[in-house]
Amino acid sequence: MQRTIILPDLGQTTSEAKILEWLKKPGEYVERGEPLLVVETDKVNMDIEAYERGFVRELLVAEGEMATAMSSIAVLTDTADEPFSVLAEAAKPAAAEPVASAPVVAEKPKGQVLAVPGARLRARELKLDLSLVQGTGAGGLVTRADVDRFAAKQEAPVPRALAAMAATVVASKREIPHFYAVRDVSMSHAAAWRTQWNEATPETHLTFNDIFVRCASMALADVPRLNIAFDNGAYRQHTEGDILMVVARDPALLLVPLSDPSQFSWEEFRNAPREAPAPLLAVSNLGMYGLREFSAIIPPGCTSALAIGAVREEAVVRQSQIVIEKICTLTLSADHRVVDGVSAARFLERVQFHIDNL
Amino acid sequence: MTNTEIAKSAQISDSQRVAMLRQMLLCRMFEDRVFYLFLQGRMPGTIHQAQGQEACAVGVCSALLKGDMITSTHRPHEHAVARGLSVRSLMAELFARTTGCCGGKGGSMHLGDAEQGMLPAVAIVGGGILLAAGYALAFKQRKTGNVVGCFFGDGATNIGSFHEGLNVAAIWDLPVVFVCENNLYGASTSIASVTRVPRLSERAVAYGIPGYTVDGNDVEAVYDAMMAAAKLARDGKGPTLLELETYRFCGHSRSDPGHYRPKEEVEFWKTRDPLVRYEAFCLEEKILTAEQIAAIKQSVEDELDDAVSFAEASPHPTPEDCLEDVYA
Repeated sequence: MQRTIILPDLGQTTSEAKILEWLKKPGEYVERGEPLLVVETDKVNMDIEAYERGFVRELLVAEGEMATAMSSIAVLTDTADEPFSVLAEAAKPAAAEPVASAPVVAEKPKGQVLAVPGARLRARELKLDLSLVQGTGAGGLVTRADVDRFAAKQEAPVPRALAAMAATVVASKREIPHFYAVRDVSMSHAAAWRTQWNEATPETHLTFNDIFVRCASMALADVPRLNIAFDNGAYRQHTEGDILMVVARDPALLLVPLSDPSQFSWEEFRNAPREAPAPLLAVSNLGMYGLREFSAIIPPGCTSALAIGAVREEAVVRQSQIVIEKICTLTLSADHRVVDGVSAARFLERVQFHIDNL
Repeated sequence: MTNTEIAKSAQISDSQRVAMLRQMLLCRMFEDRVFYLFLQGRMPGTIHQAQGQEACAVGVCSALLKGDMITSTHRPHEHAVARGLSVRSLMAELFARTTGCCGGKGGSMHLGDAEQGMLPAVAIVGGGILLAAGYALAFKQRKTGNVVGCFFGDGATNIGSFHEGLNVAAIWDLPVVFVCENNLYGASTSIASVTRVPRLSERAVAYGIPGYTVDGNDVEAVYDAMMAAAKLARDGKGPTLLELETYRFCGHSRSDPGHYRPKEEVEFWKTRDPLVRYEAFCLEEKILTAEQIAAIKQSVEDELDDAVSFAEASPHPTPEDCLEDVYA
């Protein structure tokens, strides 16, 4: 009989630990209660005892690699040479990309599995081990439906980036008291200016997003209140108009820290360094997906986040006349421990000002 | 302290010895089982275990009567087992189930059941000492003839409640026995580094009460000392301070690998393992055969298997249960 050993939750601040050393190697016998491996947590190095006895057959995490609490780390068997299988839910090395969830079989007895030919074909397509599938047909015969059911049950592993994003947004929403300020800005002048610019200097083609990023950076200098960092109860005034650009990337977001774009001319703007140490304003743009407006979650470390909708044509009333204008809705999410409503309003007003004065 | 023998007591019958050995095995194997369940990820949270201190728990509790009371610490599993709380109710409590001794709302550090003679444990260091004095005051005023056995560790002897509790119990002749399990470390702090008193029992002098240092890994020595101290208390002669010299084989908690302890020190105390000593004693004195001891161990394993199945099959408390057992 085989037994899988998991890494216990060691009651530390993180659920990950590094496997430093395996005290038992494959083929060796381990008694219940005997130290099996040494792990390094964020606090200490410690021995982990085996909670089952048996022969160590397979170490699923190599020395020097990370493992997550509750993930499988080793396989034991009762006898030294009996067959066993290693399931894919075993912990993967931290650096590796998640791989297909189909079980991988290390050794298995060459027993005959009763299955219909369609089930065998399907199992081959899905790279599944048929012997693991519970057959529901006569005498345990495995049907095609059994294979599909089995495959559906194998959970897709969560990509690490997605898990990181989950942790980040939860922390942000829990810690930061968000409030939201919304303003429609007129883009008619900016649109005309941009068309002219791109015709005159096609080698530095500008997007609406470029205009928003640089104007937001300039507005940050006008309203220093938004450029204050809140860190454990302490307030620190920043002077650079650094911007954290949020870029959509599958499966999670990519964060690009732009060094103060207001300090660069439009020609140099694209080559501005992307190494700002701690930008306080995040900018996120979903206009290209046709969104009218949305509100962003402030990334941890930032004080506010500017969410940009699509630039659209709209009938607006100007001096008692209905005119067609290009309009974009901006939503500023701000940390109310630092920013108040008036500052948020003034910031959006200054963004409009810089857009109007391109 | 090289003695690995047992100081054979004149007042313990052989059938009592068998019962005491089984209780000690139940304590040790309960702790080991909990440890394995923890490693398997079936039991959540951190735990403070007491492997190595079985003779203290069993020696003290075997000298107590029904109606007596014990108080305990953040390391209460063995106290509860030795006091005779059902292993099912203890395991269920550790699994946070409604069938646990505190309805699944107390957990590892609050094991207890006042009706069974154990106040739910207090995890604050020294926190049980004042409760023990208070309970002893109630016994005295009601003239019940009962005593309180108050467990605490060496770390608690520098806590304010130690002074207050021992002093008030002394001036009022309260029926309480203060049982200090000196396992040499308060978490990772060596007791020698925080007091100049070589024997903690000497602190009794400050309160005008008797104090004794006892081999805490010899269950019969502990039993005799506790019987004598309990008799004084029942006779209205006030409290006694017992220092039981012992050792925990595990770290302070699961996340403590115990690197602060020299390897030789751990090895030395392993030679004084209270269970190894008492098993050897029972064999030598022909109280039990090796086969009989093996059979006892098997029956303990079976009892623990049953307790785990019982606990895992029991329900968790519901949010509504929060409103039960609330008095203020």
